[in-house]
Amino acid sequence: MIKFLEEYKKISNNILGINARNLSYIDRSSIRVSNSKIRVKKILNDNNIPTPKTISIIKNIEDLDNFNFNNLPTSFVIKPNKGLGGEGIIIIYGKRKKRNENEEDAWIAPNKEILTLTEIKIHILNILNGYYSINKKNDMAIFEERIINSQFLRENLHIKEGLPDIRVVIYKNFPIMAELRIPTIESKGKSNLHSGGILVGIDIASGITTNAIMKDNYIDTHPDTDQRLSGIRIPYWNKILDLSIQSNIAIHSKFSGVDISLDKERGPLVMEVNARPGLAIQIANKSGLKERLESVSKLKVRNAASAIRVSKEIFGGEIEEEVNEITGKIILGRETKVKLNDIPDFYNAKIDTGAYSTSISQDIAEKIGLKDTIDRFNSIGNRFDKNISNIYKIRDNIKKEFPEFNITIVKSGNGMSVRLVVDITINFIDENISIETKATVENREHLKYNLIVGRKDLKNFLIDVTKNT
Amino acid sequence: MNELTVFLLRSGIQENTLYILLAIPLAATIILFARDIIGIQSFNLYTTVIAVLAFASTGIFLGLIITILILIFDYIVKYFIKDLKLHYASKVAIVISIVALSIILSLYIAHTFLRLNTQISVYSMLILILLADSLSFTKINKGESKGSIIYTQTVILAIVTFILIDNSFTHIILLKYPYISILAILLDIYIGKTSSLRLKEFYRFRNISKE
Repeated sequence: MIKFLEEYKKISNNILGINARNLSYIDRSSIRVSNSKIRVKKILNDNNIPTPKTISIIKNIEDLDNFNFNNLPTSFVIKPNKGLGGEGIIIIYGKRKKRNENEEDAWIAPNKEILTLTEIKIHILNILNGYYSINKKNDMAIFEERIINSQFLRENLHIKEGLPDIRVVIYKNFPIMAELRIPTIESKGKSNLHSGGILVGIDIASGITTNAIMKDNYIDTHPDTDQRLSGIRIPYWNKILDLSIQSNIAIHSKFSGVDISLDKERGPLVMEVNARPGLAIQIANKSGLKERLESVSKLKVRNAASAIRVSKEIFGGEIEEEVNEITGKIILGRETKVKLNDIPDFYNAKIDTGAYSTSISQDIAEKIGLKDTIDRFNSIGNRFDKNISNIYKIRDNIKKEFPEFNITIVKSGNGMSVRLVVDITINFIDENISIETKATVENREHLKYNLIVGRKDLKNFLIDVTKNT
Repeated sequence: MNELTVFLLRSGIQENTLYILLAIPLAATIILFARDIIGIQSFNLYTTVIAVLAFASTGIFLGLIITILILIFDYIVKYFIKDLKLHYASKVAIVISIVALSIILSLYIAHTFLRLNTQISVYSMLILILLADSLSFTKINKGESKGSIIYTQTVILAIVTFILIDNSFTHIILLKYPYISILAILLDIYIGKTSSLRLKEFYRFRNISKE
C-alpha cells in the first residue's frame, strides 16, 4: 500500500491528468473563442497566420436550402463549427461520375465510401442541430478547402488518404510538447487517437519523431503501410513552433494545443486551436506534461524566438542516443576503429560519403591472404585511362583474358581505372557491428587511411561529423 | 432517532421520500468520486443519479435485464434502419419506441419465467428510456463503441451506487444522522478542488515514467 502511494505520488508529480488540466491549466477566458472554429480562424487570419480557406459557412436551414452544391470544388471538407475530437468531420475526395441522367449527385469519402447529396444534407442538418457540438446547442457547418498533403508527408509516410497534422502544446507561449497525428484506414482519414489514429511523439529540439502509439499501445510501423514511424524529421520545424506560439498569442490563450497541417503548396497551415488538448501526447513522448508545464510556469521571455530556444534547450532529447534508438541507425564519426576479416590488427577507417564503394589498401589485401591474386592482377598491363570509352574497352579485355578476376571501374581524381574487387568483412569495434561487403583494392601506400568505407555500405548508419572516435 | 428526522416525519413527510431525498446527495458524491477520483466514464451526473433511482424501483435483476435489452435493441434497430438514411431525431424516436416495447417484453419475461416483482413505477421506466436516449446521443457524439462502453459503465456505476445506498445499514445511519448529507456536499467541494491523477490515469500512464 505504501509502495503504491509512493508510486502514485511520483507519477502524479510528473503526469498531467484531466483533473489538473481542467482545474489549473484550461484557460476559461479563451475557451469560448477556441470552441468556435469560425472565430478562431477569423482571429488567425487577422493576424496573418495561414489557415485553410473557408469555402462557405452554413449558419441555418435556410442557408442549407439555398446552398448550391454544384459550386463546390472537387474536394472539400465539412466540419461542425464547435465539434469535439474530430467527430462530425467528413472529408470529400471528389464527385462521383454519373452513370445515368437520373442518378443523384454523390461524392467520394474516405475508404471509397459514397455519400449522396441527401446523405450530406442530413449530415449537415445533424451538425446544425448540434449533435456534434461541444455544448449540444445549435451549431454551424463549415465547408473548407481540403489540404493536399505536402510532398514530404507523401514520400515519408506514404499517406494516401487523410491528413496528418502536427500538434504543439503551448503554455505561456512556450512550446511544451509536440506530436504528429496520423490517420489510418480505421480512423477514416481523421487523425484523432479516439477515432483510431496514430500519435507519434516529436522531440522539441530537433523535430524528429520518437515513439508511436495507437490506442495507447506502442507500435513501430503504420498498420496500413508498414511505414516506420520513428526517426522522421518534420520539415519547417521552427516555422511550426513559431506559428503555434503566434496562434496562441493571437487568441490570447494561456494553454492550448495548436494543430498544424502541411499543405503541398502553402506549407504549414494552422487547422485549429484546442483549449483542451488530449493527454495521450504524454504516452507518445514518454514524458509528463505536468513536470514540463511547471518548469516554464515562472519563466518569461521576450519573444517567440527566445521561447523556442528555451524550450528546445530544456525539453529537447539527447539527440544522438535518441536517433540511435529510434531509427535503428548507428552514428559514426568521420573515422572509426575497425578490424578486417580475421586480422588481429586494428585499423582507422575513414567514413567517406563522397566515395561510392568501399576500398582497401594493397597492404591490407595482402594481409588477408590475397598476395598472389594481387601480384597476378598487378602484372596485367595497362589498367588506367583518362577516357571513359577506353576504360570500358580495357575492362572488357581484362575480363576476357583473365575471367578469374572480379573487377570494376573506379573513378579517381585524375581519370578512371580498373580495380580488383574482393570480399571482406568489416568489424566496427566501438559500434559492435560487422558488415560483409565488396571492396576495391587500391594502391594507397601514400595515403593516410588503409580503409575507406563508402556510402554503398553506410545505409544503416548516420554520420555525425562532430563525433570523435 | 434523530430529532430532525422525527420532526420531519411528524410534519407529514413519508419516511421513504425523506430517505430518498437524503440519499441523493450521497449518491451524487459516490458518483462524483467514481468519475473524478477513480476515472469511470459515465453519462452526465444527473442521468447517472436518476439511473440509481430507477434501480431502486426495479431492483438490480429486473433493471439489469432491461438495461441489457436497451443496449441490444439499440444496436439491432440501428442496424436495420441504417440503410434508410433517416434524420437523427427520427432514429431516436424509433429507438425510444422499441425500447418502450422491449420493457413490456422484459416485464413479461421477468414475471412469467423469473417470478420477479414487476410492479415498477412509471418514473423508473421514463428514466430507462432517458438512458436509451443518452446512449443514442453519446454514440453519435463519441462513436459507436465508445457510446456502448460509457453506457455500460453508467449502468455498473448506478448498480454499485444503488447497493451502497439502498441497504438497511445506510438506511438506519442516514435517518439517524441526516447531517451526513451535508457532509456529502463538503466532500463534493473537496473532490471539486482536487487536481490529482485519476486512478485510471495512473494505470494508463504509469509505464511511461518507469523508463
